[in-house]
Amino acid sequence: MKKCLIAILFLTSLFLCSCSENILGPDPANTPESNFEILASDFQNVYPFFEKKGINWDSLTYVYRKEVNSKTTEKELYGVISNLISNLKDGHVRLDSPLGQFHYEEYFRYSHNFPDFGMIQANYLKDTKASLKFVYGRLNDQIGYIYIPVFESNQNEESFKEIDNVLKTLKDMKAIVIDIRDNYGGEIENAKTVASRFIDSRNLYVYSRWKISSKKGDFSDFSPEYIEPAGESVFRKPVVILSNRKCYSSAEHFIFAMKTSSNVTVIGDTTGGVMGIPVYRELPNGWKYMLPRSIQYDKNKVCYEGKGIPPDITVSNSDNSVRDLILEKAIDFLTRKISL
Amino acid sequence: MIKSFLALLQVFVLILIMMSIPLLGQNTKKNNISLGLGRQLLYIRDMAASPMMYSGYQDLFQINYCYSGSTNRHILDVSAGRSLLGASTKNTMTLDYINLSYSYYHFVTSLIDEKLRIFAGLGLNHISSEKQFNIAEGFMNIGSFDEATNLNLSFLSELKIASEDKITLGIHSPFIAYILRPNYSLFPRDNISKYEDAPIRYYFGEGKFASVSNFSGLNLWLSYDKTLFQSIALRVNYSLMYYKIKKPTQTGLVANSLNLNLVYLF
Repeated sequence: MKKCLIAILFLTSLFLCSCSENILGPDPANTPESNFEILASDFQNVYPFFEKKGINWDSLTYVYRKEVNSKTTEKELYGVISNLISNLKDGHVRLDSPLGQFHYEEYFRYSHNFPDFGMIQANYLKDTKASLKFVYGRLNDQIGYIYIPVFESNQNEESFKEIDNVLKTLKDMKAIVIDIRDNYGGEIENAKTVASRFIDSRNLYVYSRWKISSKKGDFSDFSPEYIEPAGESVFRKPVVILSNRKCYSSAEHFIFAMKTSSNVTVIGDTTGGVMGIPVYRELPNGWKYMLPRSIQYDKNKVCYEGKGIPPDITVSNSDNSVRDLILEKAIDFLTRKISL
Repeated sequence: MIKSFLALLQVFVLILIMMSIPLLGQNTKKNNISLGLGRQLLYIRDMAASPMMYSGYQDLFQINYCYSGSTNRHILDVSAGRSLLGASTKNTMTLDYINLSYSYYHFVTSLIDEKLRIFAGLGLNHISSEKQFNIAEGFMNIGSFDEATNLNLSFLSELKIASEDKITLGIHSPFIAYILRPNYSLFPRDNISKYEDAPIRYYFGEGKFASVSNFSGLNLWLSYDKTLFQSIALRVNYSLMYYKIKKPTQTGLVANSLNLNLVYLF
């Protein structure tokens, strides 16, 4: 009986060890057609903006599928997929392969509205200091300035808590300009870390909705996200945020969070409008692609995806300007606000 | 995930204490607690993040409590591990895995001069897995999780070799489960904290009941207990387990593990 029991178990073990593929299914084939189909169906299931952007994904994939067959080379496949996803005009859609990296670049054609930072430093900024994530100083005796080029921290989440030291340095200022022009985003948590030093109560700042099936319009309920005061230093005096078309993603979340405070005014140009929370996926050939998983709305349930968040006061720098008209407008605005 | 684990562990410890108190005064050694370490070969596929199968070895930690009555068995088992798995695409995934189970078995029959005893009963099992897909470098890593609490039919057979030495074969086959696997269970790495903060909310707010059509699984284990001293035994435990969730996105895990346990009899 003992031998019988061991034999049964041994056979069962062998069966279960060998059938992991039967239970979990086999890996998909690494062929051009399979790689194309996996990517196409994944976008169909997950990408949340087809309806908002008026895109018929079935029609697009039908057209591009004809260019893919078993003889398609990797270079050709890269071209086909890049062309397919370029139709989405989405800064959070990307393809990474050994042949190159595709991402939507139309944003770079917008008016820049941000001079060389060296010019700002030379012409406007005094007592300039820099930390890992911030460059800061004084614009005059009353107005401080903080430049945040990015909200990326490469998993060093503490680096954005340096904002406490920055605010200690600027504590005597009567107003602050936060310049996030050309800030292409990063981690939302970092944007919240900075914003939490400028608000005085727990506020709802954004709603998220997630695509939950391939059916059209099948989204989760509005899921509220909150921003709370935090940190050693809090600045509750007037603040101006400078924005341009190259503010994307977490930088736009930063504006949403900051705008929950009545002290905050946004000056400059409309932002890029790239707010869907992105994730990476992989194909059987090892290529990686990124696509957004969710739709973000402001506290009034308005979605700015593809359009961008408009500023409170629109100001444009001419491309040949040697002056930063947006920054000058902010100084003027804050000077008048302080004197009231 | 950790808070979820601790909350469930507390429930299991409470059950253990309630079961043990009236038994501790008895003279016969009907209780045993074992601590074990082992290795597990895992295969996992989570379509929420990747169509590829990931596999690899995992270190495993196991705690087991067993009460042996004349006509029943109570077995409480906790195992947990963390591993780095790989796929053919050369990408990697970090997996945290917890399995909690409680089973009650009632004596059914005995064979071979009462050396082989057969039991049948019900079990409650909780499987929790949290995956970190390292698909892209840097901050864009993504995570996914699923949790399944299931009721299962349980069978146990014990073959007594010597006075305290025995071979035990157990099988759990789930028939109903409560699954927590949000449709949007995939999220950027830095957003994982919001799921850690409120596991209970998700248990009762977003989970779904599933029958075998959406949740299937099997857990089969074999152990050999060898008494070394009066109150100490050594146990070699071998188990094979799989589970599979079909909706909202398919995921599954096959685990093949070998553990060495030190058993305290009391």
